[in-house]
Amino acid sequence: MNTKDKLSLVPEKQKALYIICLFGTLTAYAISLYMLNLEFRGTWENILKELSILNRMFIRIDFSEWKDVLAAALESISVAALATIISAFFAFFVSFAAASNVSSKWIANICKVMTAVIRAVPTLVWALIFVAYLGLGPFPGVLGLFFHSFAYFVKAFSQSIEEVKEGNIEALKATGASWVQTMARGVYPPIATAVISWIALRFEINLRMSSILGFVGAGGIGMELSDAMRLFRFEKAGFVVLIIFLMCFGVEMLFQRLKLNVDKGVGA
Amino acid sequence: MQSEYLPLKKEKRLITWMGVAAVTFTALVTGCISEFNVLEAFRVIPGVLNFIFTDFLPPAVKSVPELWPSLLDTIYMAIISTITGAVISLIFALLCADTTAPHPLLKVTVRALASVFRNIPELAWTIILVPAFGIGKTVGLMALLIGSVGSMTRFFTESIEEINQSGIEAVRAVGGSYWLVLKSGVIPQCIPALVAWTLYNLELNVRSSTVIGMVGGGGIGFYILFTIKLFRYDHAAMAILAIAVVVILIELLSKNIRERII
Repeated sequence: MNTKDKLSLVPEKQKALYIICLFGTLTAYAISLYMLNLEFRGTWENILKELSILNRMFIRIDFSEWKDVLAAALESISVAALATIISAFFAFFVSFAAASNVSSKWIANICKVMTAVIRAVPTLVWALIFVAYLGLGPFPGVLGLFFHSFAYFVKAFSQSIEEVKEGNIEALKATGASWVQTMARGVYPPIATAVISWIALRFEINLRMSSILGFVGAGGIGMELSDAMRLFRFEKAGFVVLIIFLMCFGVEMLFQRLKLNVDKGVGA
Repeated sequence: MQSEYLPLKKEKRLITWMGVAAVTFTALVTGCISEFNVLEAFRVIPGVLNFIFTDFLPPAVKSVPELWPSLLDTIYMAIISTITGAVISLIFALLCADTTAPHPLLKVTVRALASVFRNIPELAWTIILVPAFGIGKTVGLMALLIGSVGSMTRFFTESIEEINQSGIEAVRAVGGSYWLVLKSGVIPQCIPALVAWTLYNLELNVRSSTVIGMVGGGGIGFYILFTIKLFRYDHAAMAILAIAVVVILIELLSKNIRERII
């Protein structure tokens, strides 16, 4: 049989690229594994220890402090929702300045570089910086989440604006519409659904983030978890983990219909 | 025509206003619960900026040799967890995608497992694993791996379910075995999507692995937490800057490869 008659696993045109990628991946994997130099001594005992902890967390789970835990969960949800709303609001206006097709190239590039830098620093680090300055509590948590989500939204929204057809903008300009009118009637309507799905996607990310913000002292349910684990109260910790799971799972179910698109993935 | 159009417009406007009202209401309620005050936020902004610019900047360049090993550990953890996770997730996804699942019971089990992995954040996994395995790279790697398997199984399953069914049917029609269906009908169609998702997950893992050290998972997160607690903010700033550079570089690399294969 001729080899060309066989179905190849990857597109024929890009075979070289795939081979390079595969080779690079394997090399990177080998180097990382070698350099990380993991210890495997005592792993078996550790696994047994972990199983007994998991047993205490989830089999002998302790619901007695549900009031405190649920209050903390509500705080986490509030922090996530609030940060999402405020950052979406501010980012919506800034994103028009950051879109190169409706703004000047200079301003757009400055906005893009600034948001890229903000986004490159993880949310938890932002929260930690704010905690260092403002002290413990949900307030630095909201600010930390706000910073990162704002940059995310500016990038996401401006990407959607740049996808608006040039004809839309030109047609309105030709009628003598001002810049604001052009944005409101020509650019906003086609991106409205995209904006809403971006907000929903980010809320899902923010909820996950806000549930762990407490680890650095920024309030919410994460604080309950880290305190319980630190005091070896695994039975309570199990309940907290269950609540975190239910929160994240619920939001995932809620937004399942919004299909993720890898081309548009902005990265949490 | 106008008479039909006007009520429609009115209705649309009503929906818009209701949406605005609902969002404002949510903002107010959540603001009360989290004790957030917008005026307070505007009031602290100058102080925060001053704090960042005077205490954090300029970053202490001399601390690079000190943080270099933990930065490398962070990158290694991200790479290992992504690649190992991709292989496991591919198997999981084939077991639980509607089109390729060998058994319904297996499908439900794998989906539930992936959902638990994914919906407990990686940092929470770290905290759960630390008491038994101790602080260090092993815990961080395990937590990242759990998170990657959770999210990539979902991504991969979606990609496998989206592919064109005619390829699978064609292979089945000529009597192809299960393996042949996978090899000639499923994998070739979705491989660009799988690679793209893996790269996307690499970006996520690089971000997560930088913070996982804050709760005992090894890598540069511990260095940042440690230096901030000791008020050595310029050292922390250098580490944060290093993270930002790594994240941006990985993002550019991943974007470059993604554009070539799609």
